[in-house]
Amino acid sequence: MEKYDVIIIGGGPAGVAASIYTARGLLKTLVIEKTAVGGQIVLSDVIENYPGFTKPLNPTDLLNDMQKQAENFGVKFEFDEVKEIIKKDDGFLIKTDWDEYEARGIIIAVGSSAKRTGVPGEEKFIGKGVAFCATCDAPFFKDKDIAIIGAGNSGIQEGLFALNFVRSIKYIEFLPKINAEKILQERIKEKDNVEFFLNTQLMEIVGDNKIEGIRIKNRESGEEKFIKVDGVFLFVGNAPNTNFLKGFIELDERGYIITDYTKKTSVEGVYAAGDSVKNEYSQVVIAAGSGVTAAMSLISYLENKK
Amino acid sequence: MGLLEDKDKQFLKEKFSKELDKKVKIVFFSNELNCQYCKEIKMLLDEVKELDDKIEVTEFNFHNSKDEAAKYGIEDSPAIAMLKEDGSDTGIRFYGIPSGYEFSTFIEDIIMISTGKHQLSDKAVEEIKKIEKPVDIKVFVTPTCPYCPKAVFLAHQLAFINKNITGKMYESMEYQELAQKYNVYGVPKSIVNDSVEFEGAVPEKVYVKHVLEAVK
Repeated sequence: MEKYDVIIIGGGPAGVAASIYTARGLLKTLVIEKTAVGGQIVLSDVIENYPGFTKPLNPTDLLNDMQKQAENFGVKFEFDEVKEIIKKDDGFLIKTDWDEYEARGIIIAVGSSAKRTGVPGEEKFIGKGVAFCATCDAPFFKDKDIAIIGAGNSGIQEGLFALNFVRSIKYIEFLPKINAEKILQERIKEKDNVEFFLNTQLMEIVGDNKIEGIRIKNRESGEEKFIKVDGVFLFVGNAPNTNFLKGFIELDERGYIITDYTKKTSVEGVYAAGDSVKNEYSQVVIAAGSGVTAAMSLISYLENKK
Repeated sequence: MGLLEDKDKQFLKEKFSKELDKKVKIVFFSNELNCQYCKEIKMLLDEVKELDDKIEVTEFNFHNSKDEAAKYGIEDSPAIAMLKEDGSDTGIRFYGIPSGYEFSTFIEDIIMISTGKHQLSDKAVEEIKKIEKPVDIKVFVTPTCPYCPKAVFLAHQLAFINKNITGKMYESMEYQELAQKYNVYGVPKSIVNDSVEFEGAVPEKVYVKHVLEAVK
């Protein structure tokens, strides 16, 4: 079994940024990523708010560069899913799908995944007209009408991309106002094939074999309405990928990891960073910063332990 | 104007000259009648070929080269088959243009075929090598899908280590009718032997499990 000083679970911006710092602290570091390096941000088509870059960044390029940077300092990457962490006398045993590893300290940076709404029709149409990634799936709705549920940053950003393909977008937003960066709001409002339904709840995705439309309800008047659309993209927020951590570290009632300001969790030697942590804004720059905080705290913990 | 930027060409040139070992043969089946991106595919292959003399490209007209197409089991065009130096088939296919995010898969494939080095775990190799029946893996993608290369490269690696497996990328806009036939509205979508289908960039073990399920 391979032994590491630090094992980082999750290869998004938080995990990879943390690994650069622990590796530069000359700690033998492994990042275990479930699918592909990048995390949720690679689903966006561009990043325009990462400080220091004057041109829009491709998220995959940014994360690939972060990975290369980490590898230059000796970080190893494994693609596998962590199933369980077991506390031992002097460190941790990490069990994955294929393997087992030992580490003296752990950083959890498992991020979050797109939440579902749970309305009737949603489950049966996932992959058949209900989608979570406009950059991936908007081409299937060329010259068609789509609904985007959720007018936050992700919803607006992905909608701007989807407009390269689709005929029109109907935004359904639960809150009475659009909750995206002002600059994104201005860009989407310039488009004439976009319509907003604010203070409105999605009730049902309607259709037999294919989506015929959605049923929505105005939360103030209670008035219900059917809108014809061919596809539904969901950007209704995220849920942390922390199921496998239940009973191991302290989570809040929604599953987010509870840490102190040093990113220490309820278990000694285990730190957490990024979107899976309670009270973090989901931004790449914050995830990276949060990863670095966790890394620096873990480095000093391991040094003091010697 | 070319499809690749000068700085990318320079980067790939250096990478290839450092990493490539044996020759890689790329066979392109084009189609003049009904092909959205054949011109771009040809341009892309020509540009890649120029980067290193270990990369060879041969083009056939699909409709006039039935024998060649049959030799590699190519059912439709545009299609790309990737061969080793000795001309043996790797089972790696691109139906449609390997551009956008899939360009990285194409580059990884060239390096894998040339060096013989894949990135699969020992356990996956052990399981996959046991397969004795023919396996056909279709992976539907769009060039703007950042998670898709993960699924395509897994299918390609499985094909690479077991000659019974064919790993095919399908670019969904070029192959719209096929995408409709298989009910593809979200990518990546992988379909094994037309019986087992799953969506998303799943971890290696899960991918292998789905493939094994199809040959049970």
